Amino acid sequence: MNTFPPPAKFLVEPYELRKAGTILLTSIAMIEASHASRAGRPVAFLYGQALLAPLVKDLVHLANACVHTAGNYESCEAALTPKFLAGFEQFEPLLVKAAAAVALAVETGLGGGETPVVVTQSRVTGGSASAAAGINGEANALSALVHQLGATADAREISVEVSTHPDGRQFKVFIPGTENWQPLTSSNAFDLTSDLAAMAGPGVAAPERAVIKALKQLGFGTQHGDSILLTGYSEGGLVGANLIASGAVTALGGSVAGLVAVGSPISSSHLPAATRVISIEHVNDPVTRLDLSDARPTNHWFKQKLDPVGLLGHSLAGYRGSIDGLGAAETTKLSAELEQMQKIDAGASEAKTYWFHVKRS
Amino acid sequence: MSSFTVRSTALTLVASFLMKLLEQTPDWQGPSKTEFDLRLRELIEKLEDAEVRIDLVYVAEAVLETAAEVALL
Repeated sequence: MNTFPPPAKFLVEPYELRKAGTILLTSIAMIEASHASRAGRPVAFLYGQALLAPLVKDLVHLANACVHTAGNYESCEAALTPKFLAGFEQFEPLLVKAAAAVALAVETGLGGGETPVVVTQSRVTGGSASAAAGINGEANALSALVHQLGATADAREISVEVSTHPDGRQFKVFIPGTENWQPLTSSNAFDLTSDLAAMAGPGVAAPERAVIKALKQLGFGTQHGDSILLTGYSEGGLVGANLIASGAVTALGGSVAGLVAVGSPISSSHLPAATRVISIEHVNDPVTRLDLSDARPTNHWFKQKLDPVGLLGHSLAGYRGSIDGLGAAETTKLSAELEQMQKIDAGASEAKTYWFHVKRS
Repeated sequence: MSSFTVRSTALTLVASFLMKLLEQTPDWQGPSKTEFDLRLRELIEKLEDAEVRIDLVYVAEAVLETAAEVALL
C-alpha cells in the first residue's frame, strides 16, 4: 500500500505567499529580539534558547517554503510575460512601505507614534577605527568599522568620528540597530516605532533626526571639503540610506562619501546613482529581506553576501565574526571599495570620536 | 516587572500575527493548506507553551536572586 501523501497543490496568489513569508520572518525577528532581552537572567535565557530554537527553525522552514514557492511562480510568469517580474519587483517594496505607514498611523492613533528627540553629547574619545585596523587590504578595514559599530551599539548611543585631511574633514557616523521591540513608543529612539517610520520612508524616523542634530552640533557642512561616511547595523543602515535618499545630509552643506550597511533592508532605497554603497548580508538573515527586494540598484552598489551564521544570521556579533574571518580575496575587494569612500592620507590629523545619547522627549 | 510583561506581550503578539496569517489566506486550498495550517497551529501552541515555561523560570530566577540579595544583607 502506498503510504505517501498525495502531491501538494497550491491554489493561492503569489502575493499571499509573499505576505505569509513576510509575517513569518517578522515573527521570527520579534521572537529573537524578545529572547535577547532575557540575557540578564542567564538560566531563563539558556532555557528559552533550548525551547525556542527548534520552533524558530520550523518557522524559518515555513517562511522559506512560502518565499521559494512564490519565487518559482514568479519565475514562470516572468518567462511567459517578460515585463511581469520587473513590474512586480517595483510594486512589492511599495506595499511594504504602505504597510509600515499604516502600522505607524495605527500606533499614532493609539497614543504612540513618532516624537521629537533630544540629542546630548556624552563624551569625546581619541583614535580612529579605520587606523586601528590598517588600510589598503593590509588588514580588514571593514572589520574596524563594524567593531566601532559594535562599540556604539554596546553604548546604546550614536558616534561620529571626525578626522581632518588636507582636502577637508571626514565624518564617519555609526548608527546602531533596533534596541527596543515594545509594540508602543518608548523613550528609546531606536524602537519599533522608528523602525516602522524608517520602513515607511525617509525623513520621519527619530534616529534620522538625531543624526542630523548631532551633525549640526559638530558643524558638519560648515567647512569646504566636509564629507560623510554613514555606517549602520540593521535599522541603522536603513536610517543611513534614508538620510542620503532624503537629501537631509547634503542639505547641511557637505558631500556623501558612502554608506556601509550591515544586515539592513535597504535594497529598495532610492539613492542617487553616484552614491557608493556596501551592503553586507548573511544569506540567512531575514531582516535584509523585510523590504521584499534583493536588487542591486546602481553600479556603485556593492553587495557582499556572507555564508549563513547561527539560526537567523542577524546578530551583530555574528556579522563581526564573519567579517573578521573573510578570506584574502574578499578582504582585498572590500578594502578597495572602502578606499573609494574613506579619506586616507598621511597628512590627516588625529581623529576624535564624539558620542551622543539619544532619547525621545 | 515591566520588562517581564513586555516579553510576554511580544510572544503573544507573534502568536496573534501567526493566527491572523491562518485566517487571512482564504484562497489557500488543498492538502498543502491543511499541512501548513496544522504545522502553524502546532507551532503556535508550542510557542504559547514555551512562553509560560520560560516565564516561570524567569520568575523563579528573579525570586531566587532577590532572596539571595536579602540573605546577603
